Amino acid sequence: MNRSATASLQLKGLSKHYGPVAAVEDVNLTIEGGELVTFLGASGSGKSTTLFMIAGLEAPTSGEILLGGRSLQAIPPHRRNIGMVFQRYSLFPRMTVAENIAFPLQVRRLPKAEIAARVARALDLVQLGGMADRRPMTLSGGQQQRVAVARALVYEPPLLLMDEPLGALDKSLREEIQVELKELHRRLDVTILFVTHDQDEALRLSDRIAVFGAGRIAQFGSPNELYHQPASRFVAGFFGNANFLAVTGEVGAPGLVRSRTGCVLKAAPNGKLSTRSLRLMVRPHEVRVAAQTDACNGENRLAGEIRDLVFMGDHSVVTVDLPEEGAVWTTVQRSGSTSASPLARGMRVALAWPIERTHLFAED
Amino acid sequence: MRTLTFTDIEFLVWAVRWTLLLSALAFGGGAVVGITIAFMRTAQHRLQRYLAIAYIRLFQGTPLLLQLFLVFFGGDMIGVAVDPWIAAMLGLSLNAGAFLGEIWRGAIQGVPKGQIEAARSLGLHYVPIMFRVVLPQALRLAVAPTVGFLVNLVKSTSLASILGFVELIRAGQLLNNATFRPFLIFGTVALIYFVICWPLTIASRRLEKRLAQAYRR
Repeated sequence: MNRSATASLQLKGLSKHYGPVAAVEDVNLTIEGGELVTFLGASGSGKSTTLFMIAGLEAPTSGEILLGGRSLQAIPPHRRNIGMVFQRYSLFPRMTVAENIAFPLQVRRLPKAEIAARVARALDLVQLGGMADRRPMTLSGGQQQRVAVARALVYEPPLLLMDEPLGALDKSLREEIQVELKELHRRLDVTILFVTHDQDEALRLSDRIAVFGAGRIAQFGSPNELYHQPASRFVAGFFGNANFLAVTGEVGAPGLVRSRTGCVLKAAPNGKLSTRSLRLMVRPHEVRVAAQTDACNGENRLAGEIRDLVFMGDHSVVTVDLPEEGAVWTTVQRSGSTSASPLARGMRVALAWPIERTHLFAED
Repeated sequence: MRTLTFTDIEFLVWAVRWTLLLSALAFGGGAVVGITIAFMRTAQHRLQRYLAIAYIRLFQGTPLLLQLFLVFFGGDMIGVAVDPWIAAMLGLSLNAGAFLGEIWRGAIQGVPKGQIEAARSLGLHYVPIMFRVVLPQALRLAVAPTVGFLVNLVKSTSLASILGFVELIRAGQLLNNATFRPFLIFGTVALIYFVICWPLTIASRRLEKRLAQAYRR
């Protein structure tokens, strides 16, 4: 398919209010042409509303949307030439697969021969060559999903919007289609905006991810950045598992904090933190279970008691109670990792982790 | 008391024609009003919606008999003599419009919102979305309640007899007055109504099935 030039997308101060309720508040974002960007967030975080504003299906209360440098302000949805795939696919039930895919081309009054050729190409693209004369209700969820993608791509839009399109599929099929989507994106070089509440899906698919919370973008960056350098406690908690601990910052000693029991812990200095009431965060796989007598080796450590052990094959998940600190942490231990003595419930242990893997956030 | 003659049967059959014609014209008129009301009810313009709601409330909230009287005698009040036939057709059409409007509004709104959003995002605007996406799907949802209402409408034409219009019920009354055989005559009238209405119900079920199959082929 000859794509029209992939377009960059800019959102400037985009807001949407329903009466006194702010569904989206001051969203600023620049998406490069050809990127696959995911809007990730819980229900009601504003991600779908933002997508619908880009499509023109919702009118912004304020702000601007620029596609390829051109404002979409006064352009109605049917003239925006943006592809969209919906959560429930929204295929037209009275039409066959081929008619569904041909529909946007007929609307654009393309010659019949070109429509037929494009429909055939689109069907091949999504591996549904033999399904042209079937009706949507006779297809499986995965097949309907592919038809919806083909229909959205057949008129070669510069931007494709996808609103939780894999939400209704089972896990294995979802993963299969994620791989196909990634491959499709690579082949077509189209800008894709993908909405999901599934962090694994976001990590698998995205070049960059915008994490939404309460109508705002909490952080926008690569999956690697979001996982290893979360900008806030909210992002850290949303992305993967995280262990948190309430701590107090030491005055005049950036990066030095005290736990509730007075235990001194170190973290990479964070100049942006102005408050003394902080939250320390460590990823479970960064924490190792050590004997209380082990040497420190430039690590942070806390004493606790094993509450639970779950064997998961290649690793075990160890839940450790830190009663004095008022926290429960989990750690991931590789199977066969050297430990002086086998771990057991009720055992007193030390939790140790590298200083450079210690994150500090302002108390929410 | 006298026996029924061939002329009496002919008189009843003639009255059936008027019942069917009145039903058809009232349904046709009601359909025109109903489509207008349905579109007004689903419009984005608030005033249109409120006017449609007011119309529906008025005609659904008052007895049909009263509406027929108002149309028939209302003409006299403004100095226009209204023929019973015209009054019956107009009254039934206005009443049918309110009910059909609500049935079709429900069918239009029964089409998933995502269908409209998909059509808009694919490049269609309001009018073609309605005719190419929404109405074909709404048709399927509307068949059963529409035919159900049509059956009711056929039976409601009997109220036109109050205006002196000779349809099936009125013909039955006149025959009964002449023959004094109420059980036979009104039994026959009931049977005729059944013969008119039953095939409509059967046809409706068939059409529903056919439309459902069109989605599954």
